[in-house]
Amino acid sequence: MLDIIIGAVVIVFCLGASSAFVFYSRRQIEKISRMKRTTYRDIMKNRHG
Amino acid sequence: MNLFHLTMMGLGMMIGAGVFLGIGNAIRIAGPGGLLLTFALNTLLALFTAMSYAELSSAIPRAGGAYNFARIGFGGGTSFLAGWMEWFASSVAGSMYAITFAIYTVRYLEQLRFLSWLAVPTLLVKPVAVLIALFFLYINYRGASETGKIGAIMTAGQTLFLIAIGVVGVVVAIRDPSRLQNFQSFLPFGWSPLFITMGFTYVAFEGFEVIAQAGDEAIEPKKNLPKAMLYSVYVVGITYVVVAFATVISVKAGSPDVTGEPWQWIGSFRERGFGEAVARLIPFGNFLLTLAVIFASTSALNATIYSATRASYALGRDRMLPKPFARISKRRKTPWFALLATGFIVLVVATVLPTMDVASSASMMFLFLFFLVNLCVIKIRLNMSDELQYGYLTPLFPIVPMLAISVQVVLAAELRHMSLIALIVAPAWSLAGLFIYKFYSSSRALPAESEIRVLEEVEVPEGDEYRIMVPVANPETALSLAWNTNKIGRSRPSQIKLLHMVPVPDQVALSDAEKYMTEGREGIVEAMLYLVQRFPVTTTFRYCRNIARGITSAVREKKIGLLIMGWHGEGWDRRFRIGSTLDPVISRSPCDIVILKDCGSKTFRNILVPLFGEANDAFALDTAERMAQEKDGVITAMPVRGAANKQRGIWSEERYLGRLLRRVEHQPVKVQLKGTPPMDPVKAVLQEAEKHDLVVLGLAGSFLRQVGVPTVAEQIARQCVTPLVLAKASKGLSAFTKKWI
Repeated sequence: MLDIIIGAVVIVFCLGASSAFVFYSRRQIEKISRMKRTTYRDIMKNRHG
Repeated sequence: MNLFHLTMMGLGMMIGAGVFLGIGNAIRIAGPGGLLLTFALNTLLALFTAMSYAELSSAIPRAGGAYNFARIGFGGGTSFLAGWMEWFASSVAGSMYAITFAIYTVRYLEQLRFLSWLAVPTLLVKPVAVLIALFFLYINYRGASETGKIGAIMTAGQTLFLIAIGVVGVVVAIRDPSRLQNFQSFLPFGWSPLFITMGFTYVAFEGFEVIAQAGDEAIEPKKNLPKAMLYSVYVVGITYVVVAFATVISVKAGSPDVTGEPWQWIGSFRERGFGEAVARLIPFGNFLLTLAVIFASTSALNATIYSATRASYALGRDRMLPKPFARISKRRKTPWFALLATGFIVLVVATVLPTMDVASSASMMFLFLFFLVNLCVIKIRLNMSDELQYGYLTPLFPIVPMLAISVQVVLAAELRHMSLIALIVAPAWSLAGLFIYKFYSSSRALPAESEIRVLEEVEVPEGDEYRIMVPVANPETALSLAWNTNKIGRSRPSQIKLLHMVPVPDQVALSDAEKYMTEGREGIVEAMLYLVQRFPVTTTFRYCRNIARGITSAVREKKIGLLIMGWHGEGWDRRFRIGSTLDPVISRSPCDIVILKDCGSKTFRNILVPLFGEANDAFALDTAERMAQEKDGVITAMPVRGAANKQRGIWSEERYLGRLLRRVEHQPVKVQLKGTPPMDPVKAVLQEAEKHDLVVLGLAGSFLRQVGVPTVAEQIARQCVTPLVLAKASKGLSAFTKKWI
């Protein structure tokens, strides 16, 4: 039973983390696409803007 | 190709065979819960690598995939290995798709009793696989391929079919909850078999490689390539988990023809397990499944042959493999020799190796390849992040790529339990690649356009001397740089390497770089004439697209111990802490660095050294002693960070200075201690600086962050009008990382 609970938690965690990464990334890609200069430094400077 | 086409292209590669072949074997090895966990964990792991691919493709959106990234990140040998592995991995994946097609086609024909005349119908699997592989080799030779639109629609159909299986599975589970009992033996063999099943099903997540190959043809590549990669892995991951769930509950325990537990029954069919299970779940299951497999495996087979041919053609084009690999058919305009060589691998692997060994070998090769790409993303971010225009940045960098690398190493090692043959084939192919590169490709490979080239180099015999590199940019300050280099280097046997980087704008071909070379010659000659009487001196002219990268690469190549550079003061570009060239050089060079500002050709008697209680204090003190007038020089050490600690009685300025002085190499000058007044440390140091000839600052704070609030040392450096020296020592883990990455 413990295996089932831990397994279910791991599956939910993996799919949840994957969803979070994908949606965060989508937002980031859209944000970067609106910037003029997009070197690493430029993106980091504007990450809160 | 737009976002939809690119996403479908990736999905088409992934949804091909991994799931059809992998489910039966994964459930046999890891049990019903293990099957779900395998796909869930692989989704997250594949997403980590997809994020690395997404970052690199958005910054370097050119065709070539991993080969291209490795060429830019690491150069010749590694890029050859990437292309070499990409070729083999795609070819072996092609063999796997041909076998998948054959297994499911033979199974269907067997059920229709068309093969009753055969004693062992499965003997037909290999010949059918060879025939289908030959057919698609011919299709590729003809140059005909699915158009983007039709291919995308077919892939969408396949994906929807699999999602439909998943949905039916969920509905069946809701209507008949007793089937959830199939999960009772969740992990019958424990957690460890998960590494094996994750390893051999990993090939089912490799679609982003083909998306990276399409960089040239994508609309808005900076935006669409990373999105397509992430979406395709995400969709495929969720689909696999749902389909795996449906497979487990598709068989009702206790049915007359089901022996043992349902998962054991499904697993007993191995590669065919998925088909046997799904046939019980949906009406016309056999027919629909066979149709889906035929579409999925043929489109994936076509794509992998195309991808493998492209990889070997690229190696031939860059002369890393013999010229025939780059030959194009006059009639069909296709690289016929590269295709022939690819076809040979596909057919041999499909014929000779057992099915699961083919799948395991493909997985292992892709694990190697992805391992390399994850290294590339770290290396390129650390070394070229100021040159590339990114469309996407991997979050939690560098944890995510490092985690992916670690897990990939474990999975590759664990694959030995699944297939010993894969453990021999994949490393043997990689070793053969290294051998070919060393004895054939390295001497023949065409140089990449973006590489840093040496225009002219006058070398002296290498000795045991301490190596000091001095990049000379401005002829007007060359002599003062040489003067101060003499001061810093004179106390020990040193060899000076004068370097002039010739920046060539992107608009100018590198072949015309010689025109720019004369601009720096004057400065180098002046510095050399001064230094050559005191040290062995080497002069080098190099051209490059980016000066910082050129200097850093020269520092690594020549194993430099100390880099001395000039600084004209705060620049116009507020994005940089010190300057657009100095910031990246400071953060990436694996050596001690001394930066001189307004030092001229003066002698210094009163030197101020603010101490920040950090690692660079000793090096700053050491540099100050070298810069000082030997007999009557006085150094004032001013601890600026110790005031608060001192009040609490846990820090003694005297003890700290004593400890620092024991660490510096020579002490011919007088060192005195000056307490910090109770005020803002920046103001305190600037006030004190006015009373001195020179300020030597240890560059406290990590430059790896590259951005953020300037440190106290940087604020002082920007505002200080007294001649200034910035000193940064190379120590510890960060120096080790910089040296190797």
